[in-house]
Amino acid sequence: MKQVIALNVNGESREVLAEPFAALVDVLRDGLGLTGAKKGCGKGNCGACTVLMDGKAVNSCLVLAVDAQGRRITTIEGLYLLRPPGEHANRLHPLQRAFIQHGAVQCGFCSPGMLLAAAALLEENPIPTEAEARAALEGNLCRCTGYQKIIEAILSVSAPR
Amino acid sequence: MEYRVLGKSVLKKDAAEKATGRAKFGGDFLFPDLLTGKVLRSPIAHGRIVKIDTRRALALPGVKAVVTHEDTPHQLVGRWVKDRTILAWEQVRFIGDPVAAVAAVDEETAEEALQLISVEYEELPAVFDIADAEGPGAPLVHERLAKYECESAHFHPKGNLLAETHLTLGDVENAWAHCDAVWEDTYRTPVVHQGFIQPHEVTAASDASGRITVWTSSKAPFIVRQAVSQGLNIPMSRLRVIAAAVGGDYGGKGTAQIEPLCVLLAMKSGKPVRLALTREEELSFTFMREATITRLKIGARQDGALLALQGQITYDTGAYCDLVGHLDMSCVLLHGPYRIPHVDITARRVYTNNSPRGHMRAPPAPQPVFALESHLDMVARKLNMDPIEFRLKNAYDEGDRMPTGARVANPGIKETLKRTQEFLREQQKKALEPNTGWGVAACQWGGVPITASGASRDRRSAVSSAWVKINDDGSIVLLTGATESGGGPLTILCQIVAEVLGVGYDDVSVIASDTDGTPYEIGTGGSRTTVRVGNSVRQAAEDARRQLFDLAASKLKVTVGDLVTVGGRVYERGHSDKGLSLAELASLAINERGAPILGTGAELRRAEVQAGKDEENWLDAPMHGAHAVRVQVDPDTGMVTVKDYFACHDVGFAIHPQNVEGQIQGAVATGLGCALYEEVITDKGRSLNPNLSDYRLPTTSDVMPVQMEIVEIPSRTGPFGAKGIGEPPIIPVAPAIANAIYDATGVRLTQLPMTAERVYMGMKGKKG
Repeated sequence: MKQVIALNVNGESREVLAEPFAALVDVLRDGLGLTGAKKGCGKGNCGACTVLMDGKAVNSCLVLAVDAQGRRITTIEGLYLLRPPGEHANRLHPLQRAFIQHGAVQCGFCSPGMLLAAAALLEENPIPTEAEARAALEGNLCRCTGYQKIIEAILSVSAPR
Repeated sequence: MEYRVLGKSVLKKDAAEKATGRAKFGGDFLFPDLLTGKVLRSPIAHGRIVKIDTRRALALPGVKAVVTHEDTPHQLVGRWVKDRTILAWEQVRFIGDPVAAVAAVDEETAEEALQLISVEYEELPAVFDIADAEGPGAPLVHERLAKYECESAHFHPKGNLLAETHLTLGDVENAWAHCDAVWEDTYRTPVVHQGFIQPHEVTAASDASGRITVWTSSKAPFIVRQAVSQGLNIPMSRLRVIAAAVGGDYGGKGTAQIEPLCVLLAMKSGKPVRLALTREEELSFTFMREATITRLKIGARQDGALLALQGQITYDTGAYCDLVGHLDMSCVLLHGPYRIPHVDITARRVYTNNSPRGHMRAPPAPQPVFALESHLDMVARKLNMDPIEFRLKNAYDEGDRMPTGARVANPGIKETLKRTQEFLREQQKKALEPNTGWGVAACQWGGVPITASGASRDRRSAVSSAWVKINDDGSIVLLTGATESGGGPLTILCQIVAEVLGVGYDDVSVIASDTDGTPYEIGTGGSRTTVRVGNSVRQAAEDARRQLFDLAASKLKVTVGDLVTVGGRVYERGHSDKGLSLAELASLAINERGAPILGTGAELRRAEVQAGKDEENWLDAPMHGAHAVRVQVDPDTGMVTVKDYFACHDVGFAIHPQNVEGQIQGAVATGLGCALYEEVITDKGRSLNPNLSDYRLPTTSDVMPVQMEIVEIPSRTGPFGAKGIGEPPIIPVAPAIANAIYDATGVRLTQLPMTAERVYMGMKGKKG
């Protein structure tokens, strides 16, 4: 039976009716209208549904919405909220700007998941090597770019200024 | 020539929407009463439908519609050949053939409803192998094949043979005696999925009058509108199809696959319906790249001149075919960009009870070119020639005659080969690590048939068009039916408009791919969007400019020929102080002329047709490229690691260099997966690896950086000299890697994918 699920998404408390077996990605998309989280496989293989849960990247198709209660969830719609202090005039996270400038966005279906996985990486390791960036994004598939411009974009943000 | 906007990697029009999650894809349209659609598919590979009973499904609470063939007209559908049903009414021909569909309040209810539909089948013998399908007494996949409607001149129904065509030149049989080296082999390629990350997803909703809007993941909204209209007998006037953001296409989203079912469910339920395929359905039942067998025999003289080529390529087209029109291209592709005086090539398509087959990036090139470019490597070795020198000796020059009779105009094959040779010379100065080897391969794709005088040889009516509107404030809106599926065409088209009208790139916005809101367009693909749509957009912008100049000329009392448009102003050359702004001219058009400025353009389709017997025919700007790759092979496991990758392509003129790079990098990555491990493994028509852990796509850890070199030999027919780039870079990847594996190990692999197991077994066999 459906139940009320209370979620903290992008800094806001949201309540939504959902089945106890509902995956977080479906509740975010269909329940809360946050369609930036994409569904590419439903089995945790493609990473298109990646969101942040307490700052860590997770496949939201493998997380039950009920288990996401009490956690801080960030979707692509709220990524800009995590921009560093001093960037507050901007409505884009530096990673989003870098993806746009470097041509890292092609069809764009993997982009939200990629960006959130990259944000989680930089949170943990602000200056990753190229190998570390590649390892961190291994679970996020992209068929358009060959990954090169995505990696370049991430490294451009992480480079010490 | 120096341009203001062209040739620069401006920020892509769609990037910010996509990077912020705002872009809407086909499954992102929400309604409070949105239903979920699901498809019931045949569990058997071949059989007759005896009875369908949907009563229990309909009785399930939450089920809002159940549809079967009784809800559809009994007529066959298909883009090139009408060979399939929207919902099977008599016969099912593959495991996965759609038999019924449901719409319910949620996914669980829809799944449960599928279980409650009972279908009684009478099973028929099935055939899964192309050799068996042509054997004596083979079961017929399509009993009434000879009566099918087919657009292709190669339609050749006979048993399970759907189509066949030949390309012949000279006298192959007598040529072998004059060859110093002859090599013969057979090559096999498997079924591969396009690999887009967004599965097919469609949402359909009707308004109060019953008019239906379809938001589709297809890249071809006008083709979808036509297919839904014809397939369901709905007047086109009741349909509006919008290609939402397309989450990757690579050829797999060019025809109507699930759209008619989604529309049918929306009509029957009276509610909005979303129908999305699961990854399992994608990797089992959709129109994937065909498996092939190619037999090839090539002979050359001691000096390296190619003398004769005899080849036969057969495509397993599965139960239904979506691309008959490409067989002539298969022949040209198996021949390659080389002068060969004696040629005998046959290309064929054969039906089986496997899942249906369609386009995948550069259809149908990667399969024949894997055979050809692997084969050329062996002939070069027999002649003890450098593989690039061998190709250069035979490669097309300007004016060379192709076996189709056309002459080649503006080819880039030699230049791309030479650049690859220079790259290799530098690399080969370095000491070679153990168990490594270099391989090279080249490719040719497409081209525009024209006459010697430069006129295009168009076979069809206009299928690309564009409108350019100038707003009151002088800002510009481009309306185009082209779709953005990741290659960046909308950005490029806006650059063209900005260049022609002398405004900034940011002053141009774009509305795209909506059958109601934008002009007709056949679809984004074939490496022809920049060229073909680009030309119509250029024409539309020039038409708008002409109107601006007419208004300005009468107002400024100068002649049109002396006017220029720069920085959003129109003025007499040399008198920039006495001009009019675009805003002023747009207002003049509205208030005085009474007709706002709307420029229109329509480019005729330039089909890649055989040039036939006409001696005056030319093929402008076939797209050429050459790749070099270094691999390392683990001698204990056969595992292949790509260490260095170089790709050189002639793009005529790179309107947006970053887009060109992205197309090359992405295509090489996909080519790498197809070369080394991608394969839909089937057993009696059933997919055994329908998920992304068993059907592996290349990841960040698999794909190496690609070193690129862009050659710009201008085309005569493309806008500002541009040629296409979407398809070519995937074509040479597999043979380049196969040639590198041979260089490293002495093992010639003739079957894709070149898995560690196959390489290992090859090495073991060689030793033993």
